[in-house]
Amino acid sequence: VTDFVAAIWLVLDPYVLGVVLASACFGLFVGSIPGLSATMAVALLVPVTFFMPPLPAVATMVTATAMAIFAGDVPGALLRIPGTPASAAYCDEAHAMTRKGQVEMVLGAGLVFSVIGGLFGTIVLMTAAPLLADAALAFSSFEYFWLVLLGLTCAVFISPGRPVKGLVSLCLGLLFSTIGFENPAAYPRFTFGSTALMSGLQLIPVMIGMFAVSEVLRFAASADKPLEPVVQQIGRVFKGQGALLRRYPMATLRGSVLGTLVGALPGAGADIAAWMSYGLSKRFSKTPEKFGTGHPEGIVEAGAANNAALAGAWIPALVFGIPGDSITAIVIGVLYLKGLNPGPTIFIENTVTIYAVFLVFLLANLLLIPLGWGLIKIAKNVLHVPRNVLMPVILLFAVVGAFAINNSVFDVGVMLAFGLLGYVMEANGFPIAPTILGLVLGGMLEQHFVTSMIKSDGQMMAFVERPVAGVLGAVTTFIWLTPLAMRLMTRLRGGVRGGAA
Amino acid sequence: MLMNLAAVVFGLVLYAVVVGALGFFVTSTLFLALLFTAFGVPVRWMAVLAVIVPIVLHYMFYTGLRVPLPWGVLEGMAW
Repeated sequence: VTDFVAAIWLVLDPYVLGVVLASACFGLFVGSIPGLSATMAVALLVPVTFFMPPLPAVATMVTATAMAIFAGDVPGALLRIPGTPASAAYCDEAHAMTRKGQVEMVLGAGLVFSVIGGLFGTIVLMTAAPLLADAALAFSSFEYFWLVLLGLTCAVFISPGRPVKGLVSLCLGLLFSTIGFENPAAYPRFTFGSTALMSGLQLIPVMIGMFAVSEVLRFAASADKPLEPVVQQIGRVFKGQGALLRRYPMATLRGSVLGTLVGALPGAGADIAAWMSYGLSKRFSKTPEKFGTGHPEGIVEAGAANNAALAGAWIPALVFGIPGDSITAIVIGVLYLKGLNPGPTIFIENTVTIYAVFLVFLLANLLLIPLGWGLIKIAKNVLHVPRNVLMPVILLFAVVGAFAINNSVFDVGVMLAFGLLGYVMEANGFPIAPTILGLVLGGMLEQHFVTSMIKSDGQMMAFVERPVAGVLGAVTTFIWLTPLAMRLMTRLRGGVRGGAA
Repeated sequence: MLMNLAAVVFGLVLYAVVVGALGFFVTSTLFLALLFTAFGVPVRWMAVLAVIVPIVLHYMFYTGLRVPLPWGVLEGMAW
């Protein structure tokens, strides 16, 4: 309890509060501009947080993402263009409601249920993460090896599109993670004689490239149409939201739970949570035929899900150092820089800071109510910001940010290379999250593997002898074998049918 | 729109190559001018923003965050 009080004082520091407010406005702005995503907001914030103490650095990211995911709903409703990928699932529905003259209702629902989902996810994070950490204290390198492998496996199979593309993306990330001499044998790999590559790829320029530069490239490649919001006047947004909550309590709960779970699974974040939730909502609805015609039920459920996913993603990130989504992949990099090494001991060694981070989560979600309301009121003006002016400025900011981390022009080159890679991958349907996960976790996977092999004196059986390791290994193997088994089944059945005919 | 894509890539490569010699201010202004032209931003906006934005960023990173941005040709007026 004394830790909790200390945490409250940490958060009430005017500097922290100021940082939270500033990053909230930044997050709302970035989220509401189509083509600028929540992940991009975090990637752009990293160079700035680099020079802050740990708590405000983490607070900026927590706040900016919570704001950005809601703000993405606004252009979805007004322009039929999602502000962030997390709002894409119900963008058509939201716009249909706007055309029916229910713009207050849809924006208000986005706001209220974002807050509910965000608070739900935060409470799960606050209770589940310390419990999980207690259990994880007994984990050895065997369990960690399987956990990392399971995380990478989830990233491949949950990613949208074909698993093969996810697998290619993952292997690319693992390959990049081997660059440099920071491996168990300290042998320089893939450095091509370059001293800049000796210490491996710097995560932050890679992230800025993949999440900010690639978006600017996508903007440059597409024909730019000026954004024209359809609505002129927006009235009272909170009217009727209580009734909505009373009408769809199950949908709200289902969205929050599913969002938190999907967020906690590595490689899947707010966008996938929203798609799954919207689909589930339609399946369980009493009136599925109304979906797509401007019906609030799916927006309630998916709107809660994508905000809940944000906090859910922090559970594996804090407890195991395994990011739950692309945003926490960046956050983990920042945590290491700040000496807040993720892992089960973080709850023992940095109790106060972690409590303070939880409080910032709560604060950010509560702050979303007034600030989100403000954004809705001025949305018309925000959406008029010309993107052809904004994009070059963001690019320059990205360049300076990539440079600032190590004062090295080489990192600007890394940023550009990964920006191009991210753009080409997205344009061809390859998910980016597995690459990022592979890059972040590759070193950890190798280290735990080598440590385990040394401990067991080369005995492979040791990987499945401990009970928890055995179960994790079985689950991982099962996930990999299922698609193969299913293909084999269909082929066998097809063969029988072919023989009968 | 391939031209715009090429402009972004070319701009970034150029930036990395010349920033050491020309310094932050000159390179950033040229960089913004190039991209604003490619994206069709009106000239009077372009002239103002290409000068003001680098100054704001310089203040943020050089003064605020103490990142040693290169001065290049403007070494004489460094602060």
